[in-house]
Amino acid sequence: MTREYMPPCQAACPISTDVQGYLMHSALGDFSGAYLNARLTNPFISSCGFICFHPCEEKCRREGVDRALSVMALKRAASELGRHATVENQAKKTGKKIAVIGGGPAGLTAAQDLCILGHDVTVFERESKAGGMLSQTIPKYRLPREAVEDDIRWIESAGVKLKTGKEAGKDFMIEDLKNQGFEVTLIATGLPVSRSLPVFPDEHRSIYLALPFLKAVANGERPKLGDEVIVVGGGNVAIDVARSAKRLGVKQVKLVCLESREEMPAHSWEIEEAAEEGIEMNCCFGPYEVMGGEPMEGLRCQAVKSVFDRDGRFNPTFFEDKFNEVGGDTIIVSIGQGRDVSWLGDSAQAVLNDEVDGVFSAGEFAVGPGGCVDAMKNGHTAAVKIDEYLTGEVMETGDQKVLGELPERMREQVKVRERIERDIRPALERIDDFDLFEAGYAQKYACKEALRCMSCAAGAVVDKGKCVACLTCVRVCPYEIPKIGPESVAVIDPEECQACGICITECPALAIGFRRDQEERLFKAIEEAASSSAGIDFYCRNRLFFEDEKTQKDRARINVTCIAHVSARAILKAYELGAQAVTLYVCPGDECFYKEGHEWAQDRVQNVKSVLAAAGYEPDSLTYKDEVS
Amino acid sequence: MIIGEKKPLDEILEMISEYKKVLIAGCGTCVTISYAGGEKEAAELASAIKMADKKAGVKREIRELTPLRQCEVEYVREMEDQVKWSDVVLSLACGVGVQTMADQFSGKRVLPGVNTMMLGSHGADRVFKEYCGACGDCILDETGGICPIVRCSKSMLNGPCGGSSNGKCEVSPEIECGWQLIYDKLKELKKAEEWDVNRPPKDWRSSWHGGPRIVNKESGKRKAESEERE
Amino acid sequence: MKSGSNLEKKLNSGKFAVTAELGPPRNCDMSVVEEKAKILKGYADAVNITDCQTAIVRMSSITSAVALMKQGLEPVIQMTCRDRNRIAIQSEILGAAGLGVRNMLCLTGDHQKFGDHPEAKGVWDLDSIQLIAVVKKMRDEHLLSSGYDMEKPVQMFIGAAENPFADPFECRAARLEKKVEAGVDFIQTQIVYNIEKFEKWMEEVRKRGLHERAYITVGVTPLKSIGMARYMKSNVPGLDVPDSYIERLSKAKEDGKDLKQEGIQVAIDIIDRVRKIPGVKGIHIMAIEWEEAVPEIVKGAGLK
Repeated sequence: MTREYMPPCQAACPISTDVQGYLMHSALGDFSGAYLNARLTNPFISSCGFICFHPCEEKCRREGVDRALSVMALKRAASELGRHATVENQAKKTGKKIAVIGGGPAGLTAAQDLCILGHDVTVFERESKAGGMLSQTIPKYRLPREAVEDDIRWIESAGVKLKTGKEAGKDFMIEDLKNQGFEVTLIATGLPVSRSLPVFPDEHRSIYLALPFLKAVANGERPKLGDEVIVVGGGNVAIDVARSAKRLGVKQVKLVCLESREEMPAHSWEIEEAAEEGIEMNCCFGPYEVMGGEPMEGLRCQAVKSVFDRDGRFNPTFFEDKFNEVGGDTIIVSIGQGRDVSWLGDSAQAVLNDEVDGVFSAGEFAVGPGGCVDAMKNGHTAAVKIDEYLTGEVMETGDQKVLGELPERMREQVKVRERIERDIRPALERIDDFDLFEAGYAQKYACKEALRCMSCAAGAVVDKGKCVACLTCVRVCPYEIPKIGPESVAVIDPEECQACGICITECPALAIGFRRDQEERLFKAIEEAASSSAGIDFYCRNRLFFEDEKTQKDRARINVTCIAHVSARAILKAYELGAQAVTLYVCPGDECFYKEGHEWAQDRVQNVKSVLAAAGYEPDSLTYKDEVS
Repeated sequence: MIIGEKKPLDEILEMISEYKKVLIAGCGTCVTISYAGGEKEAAELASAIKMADKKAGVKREIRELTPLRQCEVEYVREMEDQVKWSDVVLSLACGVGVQTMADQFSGKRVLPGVNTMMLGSHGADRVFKEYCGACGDCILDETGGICPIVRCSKSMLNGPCGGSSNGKCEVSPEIECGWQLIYDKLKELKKAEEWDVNRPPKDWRSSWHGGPRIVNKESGKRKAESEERE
Repeated sequence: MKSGSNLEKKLNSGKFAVTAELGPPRNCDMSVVEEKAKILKGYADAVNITDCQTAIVRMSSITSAVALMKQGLEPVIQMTCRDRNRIAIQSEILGAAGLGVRNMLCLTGDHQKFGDHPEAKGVWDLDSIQLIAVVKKMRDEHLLSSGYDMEKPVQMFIGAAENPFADPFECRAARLEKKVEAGVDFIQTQIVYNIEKFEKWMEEVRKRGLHERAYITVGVTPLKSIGMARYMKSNVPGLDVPDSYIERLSKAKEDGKDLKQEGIQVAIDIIDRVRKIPGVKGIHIMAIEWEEAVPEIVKGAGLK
């Protein structure tokens, strides 16, 4: 079912990753649940946990209260702590064969989607490993290969057949695929060609191109570099190149780029990290000529007047007489990548124009450079198009409204909970090797960080058919959000609702539910717990901020993000299904993540105790614990 | 609004002791609002009965159903299938609902799971107070809008009695003296002179004391027909 | 003369009247009434007989009144609205008048919650003011509340109680006026300890001229013990017991004085003071379960 509102983090993600979903699982300590949830739209979650440019974080509604959730790091935690989980692809087979050329994020995303739709998909990858740039060029200090391998494993488990070492144009042509029964071919070969400029001679021993360089480094090779390396370019690849060169022991790495530091296409945090590592930035200069022969002496650069024209197009202009000499003995050209269409011969333009029947294109090959997540989005889109082509059925997409900014009134009421920062290796230490430079979250910290999530758009929603406008919600809401609207039923503004759950559990008509499945999940957990254990503990995760988690062997634990989610009905249900003893672990004192959650819990314990007594149970078997050890 | 109060569980268990298929019928209006018999209370009661049965080794099936109002025959008739399934209906409606339900299903016992308390209201808290005695002859126009029939423990029409102390009734410090309220309200309304009226004994015929009341809103031919039916 | 009772005569004559109170037994032993009557005989112009006071079941007021009259005392029957509707009340009044009862105190009554049958259904068909009007109509117009003409008046001196200390204080004299309007002849006040507050009330009563339209007699109760004083102070709604009395009794105890004597002296002192207040026409001594104190108080106050 499509939810009415989408939180802005999810809306910011090109592939609409259900950020909140896996954060909620993580907060409850269910990392395999988080992993499976994240995988619903993102086949590369393990990789994305390291390299995603996380636009979700920029839109996080906590920004302004304190700081955005550390979403990318939590994705990494979900992968590291939950990747043992599996699901089976139970799609009905359609018998349609599809070939995908290129096993990068776009191709594999499309392949996985099409498998899940029941099609028979084979991916042809020219390298020995799938993953595209993720496995070929991205430096290992940023992306450990186990993460990529986990993603590939997952994609294969969905039924995607991988044929590596098969290069289009060399090992096969599109015509061959047709002959083998592939009804559709999807080309997603990315941008594998490193671009250069006429000022850089092709055969110079000390001039490298970015992609071959990164690929060699990723393969464990150590290309021969001098003491002073000049990296030309201002994008993310250039930064990767520069930081890799630094890690190879180069004394001085100098970046030369046309753009000012603010204009550089690389992500700001990457630039900062590079600067920390001692990489010198020569902004606003373009390469003019290589100085000296072999060995070279450096690069003469011309000062840039402007990079973009009035229409924002890339069109650099220079100062005629302003030059600068950057000394160096090696140059690595990192000014961009291009697609390879040579093997398509005369049909290249037709393929790019989407004019060849049964041939589709996706990813950077189709739309030009972008991040991994952009490539995945493009892969998803291609899969939809291909499925429509094959089945003639148009897939329906639900329309969701995006939740706006956190209203000022609420911002003042949300409790500050500082972001939990991860350990980053000091710059001087990390440049010695290609080991990861950022630590992941240990489980405890991952839970705590995830608990900061405000469950935007996952709060209370009123069933108009059941609401009797009794005003209970209006009266119990600690944030004074519900109102009785013009239709004479309660209206709860999703922009304001904090998802504390008090109105939901107190509504006498059971007319209010969560916008997500918090309640169903709780009752399912009660069923499972009661069948396996006589003692059930409802545990408010907010306690993690005050104590280390301990579980008791003989008791089942049900985690909740606020103890107010545990209604009297829920407690009674636990007993009804066989529990002999129930404890509510509540956060201490006035520390409720929301407001008043503990007071409601106390109330319910009192009420249920009297029911227990009347039903022949020991009232003291129900306990309320707010002290922490 | 009619204010209901849940009956104690042991009383309910005793009531239903001989029945094996119990339909708990909540009611979606007054008793929902007064936290006595809405869908939530029905669910909680179902759980509680199941728990008690489990403990006592009793085999019994429980179902729950909450119509919009049990005091309307149309809504009650919609419950027919579930009522037929049951041995007994445990109604969480007010006394009106219980009886409307029983009227509709001959041969089916309908038990009350709720005590019908009063006509009342509450402030923003969960403390419900009696406001109206349904006497059939409203005099709120004379008493500053505060009903002496039910808000005075002695239904005095010329109060307060000598037990009024610090605004409280002699019966309980939790009860506000209705006549103090009237006095204060009249002062607030600048109608203190209305205090001086001596009210004669009330004609109670308009109230239940005149016998069970019938209010016939039909008119003309329809009225004649309905009276004939009665 | 409205009723021809001694009490009416005494008050009409301008002399200071004394009434006392007698609580019937919680069984059918008529000798209890007779014994108490003997003690009071000669010390009171009339004797109130309570009507199941504090909602505790006791021998009926009218029945006890008959015993009292046999002893030569004049009764004031009390009639509350708690246990009878207007039909029963009028029936009782007819019976009482027929038996020769000439004084009656009209009360709303203590709530049944306080008594020995808190589960009982209260009637509350009338209130005290309506009751006064009903009796007055029976006397002055020989009409029942229904308008039925009895053709024979009910001779009855109509009394009522009034509590000067209950709340809201500023409406208390106004409420007395309502009773006067309804037709009351005499008033017995709630027990007075706080004389200053009582004086304030009397001032308002006089301002309204009520003391000229009904006889005001003042309720007096001797303090039997410090405990009793404390209990009345904190547990009896509408009773105002200033701390000075508790201190006085405590001091007497320290000084080794007879506390009961001191309690009686307190009552005498109160009588001395209230007598001087303009508009006060008598006292009503409520020596609850301590009828022996009445003769001493009356003598001590120089009223005999």
